[in-house]
Amino acid sequence: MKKFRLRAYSIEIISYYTGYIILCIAALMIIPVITSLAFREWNPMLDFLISLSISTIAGLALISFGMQTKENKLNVQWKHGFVVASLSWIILTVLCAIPYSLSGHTKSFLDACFDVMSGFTTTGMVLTQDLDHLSNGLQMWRHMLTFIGGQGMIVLALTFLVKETGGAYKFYVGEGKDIELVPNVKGTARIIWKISMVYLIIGTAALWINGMLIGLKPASAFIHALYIFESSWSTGGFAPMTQNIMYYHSVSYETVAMVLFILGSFNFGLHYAMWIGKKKEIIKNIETQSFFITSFVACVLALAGLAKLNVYPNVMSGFRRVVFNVLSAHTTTGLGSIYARQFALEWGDFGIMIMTAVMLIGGSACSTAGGFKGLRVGVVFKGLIMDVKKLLSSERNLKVYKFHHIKEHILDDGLVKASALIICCYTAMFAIGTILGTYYGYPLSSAAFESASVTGNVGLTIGVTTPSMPAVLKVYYAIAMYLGRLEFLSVFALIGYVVGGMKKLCLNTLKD
Amino acid sequence: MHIRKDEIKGIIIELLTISAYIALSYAATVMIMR
Repeated sequence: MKKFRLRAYSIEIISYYTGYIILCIAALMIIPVITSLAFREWNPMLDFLISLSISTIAGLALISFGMQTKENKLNVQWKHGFVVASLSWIILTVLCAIPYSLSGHTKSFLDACFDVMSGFTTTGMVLTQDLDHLSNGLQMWRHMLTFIGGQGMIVLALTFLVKETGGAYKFYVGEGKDIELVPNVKGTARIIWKISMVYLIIGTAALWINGMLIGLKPASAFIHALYIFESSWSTGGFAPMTQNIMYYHSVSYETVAMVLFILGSFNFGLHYAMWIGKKKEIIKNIETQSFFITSFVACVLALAGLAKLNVYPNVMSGFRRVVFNVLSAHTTTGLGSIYARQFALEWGDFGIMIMTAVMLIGGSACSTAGGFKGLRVGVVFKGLIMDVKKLLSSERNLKVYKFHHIKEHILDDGLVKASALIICCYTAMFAIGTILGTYYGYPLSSAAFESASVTGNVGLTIGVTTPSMPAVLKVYYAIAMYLGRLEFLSVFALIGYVVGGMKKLCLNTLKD
Repeated sequence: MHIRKDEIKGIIIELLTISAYIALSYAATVMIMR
């Protein structure tokens, strides 16, 4: 009986905090409502009002179900943090897909959910049709989703809405961000949002000026600048036009976007360290070292491979097509400066292989980027060197190995093992996606490219992701994006919690 | 939102480092594709 009561408490805690998060995101739907109102788009405004009402009712119902949490001040445990984080993402995906579906720009509700998951996870894959004629309200919404998803919507909800933040760190870790810039979560989240807001102003201004210089009207240039900033900083990959970054036909616009997505792929801890005066951190940090080395090597290899195939006739076109796409893939952004099929038809197997590898490596931990993360790659690589050195040195030599990430850390076997384990999970996810792709008849290289893109939350496509692709593949890609973004642990906790609950329920029923 | 002098310095260094890295990538493109 006591065990059953404990489980009921857990459900109430999960329900209460999930409700809060839903309510917070529902409140954000007011922004596209205002946008629709400003542009006199009555139908999209109605779509958002319907979605807002449904989300508010769902949020309030969950809060009232878990009201005991507030009244009895129930303690949040690690398992609750993980389950709330993973459950909220699923519920929010469904609720945020309603305006997509009502707009008529998606083939089915599954496609709408796919696009929302792609936005939240900062992937950038698109199944929405006729992007060029999307309403301003829906454009605002999809870019907002990717911006909020990048910073962490649970962090946003809990730090600004929930007064008692004792258990907030547990939700925070559940969403894949485990840094503490200052001793409390509220302070850390506010620093994350401050960094993002400062770069929002700088980045949008730079793109706005650039947009006007290339011939866009001031109002249009501003809207495009805002969207491309949100997409670049969050390493998302959405763009307001079907042609993605190619729409602007500008090397300066692409270069500014490149600076922004590299910045966005860096750890928030690194930005903070730089801002408080640790100027050498950007050079000393294991993650930036890992990123600069792997991305530079990948750029050189891809350039050499494509030069051999004589695909691009001059230096500028090589830089804009090869370096831009390799860096976009490595930072897991997904803004593309060539059409999807050009990867398959022009880049050859070597180029596709390089892109697949960098998409899997990804950006930094605790950033908006996906993939294995530079930190894990660096730790495993250093761990390998450590093991080799141990083998070659005398048995009595007990040297302590260290690596630099914001501060000096001791490199121990546990850390190497944990990093290698997550890399194994990503690799397994990628392998299953590739097998599934080939099962549905796509060539191996295309299936591997697309699978790496969804697993690493990149968003570049080789032409597999289309509204007409098999529904099973759509579902798998959405799951891969979700697992990749939450870095497996939270989702495993949710599955464990549900399976454990069902098992106990079955056993109790059998006993009775 | 208040921004301190140290924070502005940090932003400038970040932007300069990334710009230098992009310039290096461009130099590599010139070397390979020339």
